[in-house]
Amino acid sequence: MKPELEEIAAFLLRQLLEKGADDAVVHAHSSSLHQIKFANNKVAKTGTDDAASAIVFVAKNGRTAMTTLKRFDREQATETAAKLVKFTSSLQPNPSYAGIAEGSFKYPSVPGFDSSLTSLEDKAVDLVEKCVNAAREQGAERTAGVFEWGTEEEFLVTSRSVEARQEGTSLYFSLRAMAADGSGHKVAAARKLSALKANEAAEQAGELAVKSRNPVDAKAGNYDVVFDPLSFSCLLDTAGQAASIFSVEAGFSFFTGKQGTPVASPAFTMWDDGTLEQGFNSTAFDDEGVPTRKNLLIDRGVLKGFLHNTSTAKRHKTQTTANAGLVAPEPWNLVVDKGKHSLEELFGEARNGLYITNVWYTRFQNYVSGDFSTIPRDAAFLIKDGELTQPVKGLRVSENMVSLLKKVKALGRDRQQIRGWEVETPVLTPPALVEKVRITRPVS
Amino acid sequence: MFILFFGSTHSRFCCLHEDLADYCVEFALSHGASYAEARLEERSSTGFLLKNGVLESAAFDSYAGIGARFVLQGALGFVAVNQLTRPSLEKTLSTALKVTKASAKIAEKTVFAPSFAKKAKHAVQCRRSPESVSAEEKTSLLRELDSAVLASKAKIVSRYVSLSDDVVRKYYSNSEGSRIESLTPYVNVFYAFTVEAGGKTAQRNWQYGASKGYECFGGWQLQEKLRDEARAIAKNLSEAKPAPSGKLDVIAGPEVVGIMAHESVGHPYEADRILGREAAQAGESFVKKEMLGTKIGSDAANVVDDPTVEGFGYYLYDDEGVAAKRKKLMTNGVITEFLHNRETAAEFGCESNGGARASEYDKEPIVRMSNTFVLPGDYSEEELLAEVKKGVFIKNFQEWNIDDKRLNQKYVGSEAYLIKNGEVTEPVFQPVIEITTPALWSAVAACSKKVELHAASCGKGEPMQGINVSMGGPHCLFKGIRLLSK
Repeated sequence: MKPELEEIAAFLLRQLLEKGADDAVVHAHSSSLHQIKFANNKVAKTGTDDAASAIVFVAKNGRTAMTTLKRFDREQATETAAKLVKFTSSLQPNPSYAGIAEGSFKYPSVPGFDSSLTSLEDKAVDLVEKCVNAAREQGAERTAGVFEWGTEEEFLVTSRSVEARQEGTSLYFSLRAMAADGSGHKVAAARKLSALKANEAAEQAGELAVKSRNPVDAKAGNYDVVFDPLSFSCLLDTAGQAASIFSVEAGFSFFTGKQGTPVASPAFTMWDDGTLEQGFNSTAFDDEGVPTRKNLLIDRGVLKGFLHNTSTAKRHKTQTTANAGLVAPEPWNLVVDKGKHSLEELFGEARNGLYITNVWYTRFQNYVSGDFSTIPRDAAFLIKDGELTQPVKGLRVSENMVSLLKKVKALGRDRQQIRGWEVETPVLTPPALVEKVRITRPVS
Repeated sequence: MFILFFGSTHSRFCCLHEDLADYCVEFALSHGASYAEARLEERSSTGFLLKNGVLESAAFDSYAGIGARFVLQGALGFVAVNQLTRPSLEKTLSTALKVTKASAKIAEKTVFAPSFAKKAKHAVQCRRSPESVSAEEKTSLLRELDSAVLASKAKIVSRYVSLSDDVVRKYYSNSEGSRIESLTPYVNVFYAFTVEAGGKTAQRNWQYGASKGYECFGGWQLQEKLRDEARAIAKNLSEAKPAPSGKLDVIAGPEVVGIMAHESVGHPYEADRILGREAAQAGESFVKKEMLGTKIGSDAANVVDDPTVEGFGYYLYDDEGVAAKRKKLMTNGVITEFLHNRETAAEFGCESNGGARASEYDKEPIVRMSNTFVLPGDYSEEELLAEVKKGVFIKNFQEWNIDDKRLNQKYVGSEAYLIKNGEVTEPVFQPVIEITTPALWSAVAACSKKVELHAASCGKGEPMQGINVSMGGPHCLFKGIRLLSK
């Protein structure tokens, strides 16, 4: 990060303390993000977004407030500090607030900075062209998607002796391939270009598109469903959000009141890992500056705990899990323990089987009970005698999230990192076989 | 009137920033672009969150940023910057031009439908600007809503109430000579609570929003609404019978009708979806270009999208500088108009109808809805009920979804009642409508006279753009819909 941005962030922290703040955090970010969006096999748009800002948090006399600093000069920092302290003083107390982490800390470096991403222009266009062609070579007629890459630098200082900095790079590729009325969608995410499996994703999407042509309406009923990593991640993303103690308190968690009890089948183990190598959201420290780590959330089906920051942890008489969010703890990268099966073996275990490669529009009737539905999109197939047979369409998974996790029968051995349009928290997961999933469809 | 035009003494833009927006356009043109436009956005906001009665989050923010588009060698480029200095703009624009130039060899040739250059200034008049209302008053408003839920005397196991506001000033400039300034305030309330009764729980999450100042609270009467909703949910949990299943008449309230109009008329009529530009994100559409003029609903089904009416999706010029207008999406059940920006309009051989919107300066303008609603009919609510011998009244909903072609949709009722011989009787538990789009709109038999609009945030694009919209309509009678029981 430019030294002047760090200097202004540190200056702003001093200003806040001079004005009477009890706790303060200044978290500066500077990023340069690029996107190539393509549709109908051609580039539809390129985008470049350069931004710098600092999130500023203050606690004073039991009151808390936040703002952002967008212009990095001493005059603006002085004005922001004065305004924030005045604003905070005008508020009612926040009895939920119990402090931020006491530093200082040592940070392991998070692997995965790729300096080649600072000037990728021609290579990025070539990558998109190659991937579009790869999908078409599989028989896809049309492709659409995005390739995104970027660099980000962070500097964090707090009133509790924390001073932390890091830089990171990230890449994301998404390609949907269409062949007549068939379609397939695959994604790839990484922190280094060499680790991004974009071409593989494009080929697989093209292959799925061709295989899924001429789908028929499947019957409603209970199916053993093999969820591909993309579709399973869309569901697990909601489990990651539900694992935040903030969601529990706010009435947005189907894990409420279930700590120490089974919430999934014994075959299922999941943790959150801010240090994951090639993890799209990996970070050396959370928003208080606490070094991130691996936190077991579900161990062989049993809910072990929730994600915390320092303040929520104190209230719940536990330790921070290094998942701040100063207001709401958030997962970094969800990781599902791999199983022993190949994808074909999972197909072989499915009776009255269905293979769902992608879902979208997951919505809850009740976040606490976990009643929800979600809609398969792109390739879906019936499974008969361990083989994919008829492509199907017009389906809906109408389920309860805890029931569904308890019905996980087996997991695959090959994991993929998924980040997507509906997967906010990156998920590293294998495919999963889930028994007796309730499938509904429109009636007329 | 809602809109006032303001003179030079009221202009609150920083001239320096306006100059920088104009400079973006000049810079892109001088580096080979055949077209360029820039949107300067200055936004000031506050936000408050009350969780289970505790003020857990309070924030204010203000920023300025520029988002610019340009066409270079036929390829479309977008750039966003929030450090508003000439060197910073030049650096980012130079990189963006380089990427766009490299992409030209495999890029779609961008053509914009013609649009007359506009020079305009407009501001939404508000009696109580968000900037004039203190943090103390805003948090008091939140506390009143929180207290209203508790005043229901229902067993409430969680409460979440948030309030946010924005004042957004935009300056739009393009290489064809358009210069448009606007100032719009927004106030937004979101609430969610969980009720427990009879050993079960149920939830209510909803939003109110207006492109206005804090005077909007007077019309919303939220305290009464939240209290009554909590009571109704508790009653439903304690007393509801299983929802009947089979072919029945359904009267849907404006909240339900609104989401239906938004999801299965508004979205599939977005021309960028029809053309496949959003295929990898929000999906495509069962509606094809050649389906204009096709009847897919009953004579009673009329749906429009109108940014010029008072609603959360209000605007007078879109983010390509095109004047806003009412779009008649479905007229007597016939597909009569699509939602366009200048790019899709060129493809369809028509003029843009002003549907290009960006959620913030750092997002590209894409085809979006604004205020989408079913037009009123000539029935009173009582007359609608009188048409139903046995049916269900679905006042509001929680779970809903629709496939990525906008054909297969589901709505699960929350507050719902049985209708017997024209009378609303006992509550029923979570009736489910799972139906195709043509079947739904063909079932519309009659609509009431009074239209309600409800605020929402609609998601589309990549990166995701959550944008303010309204959706609504009158009470509508759907004849012979097949209901499922949860």
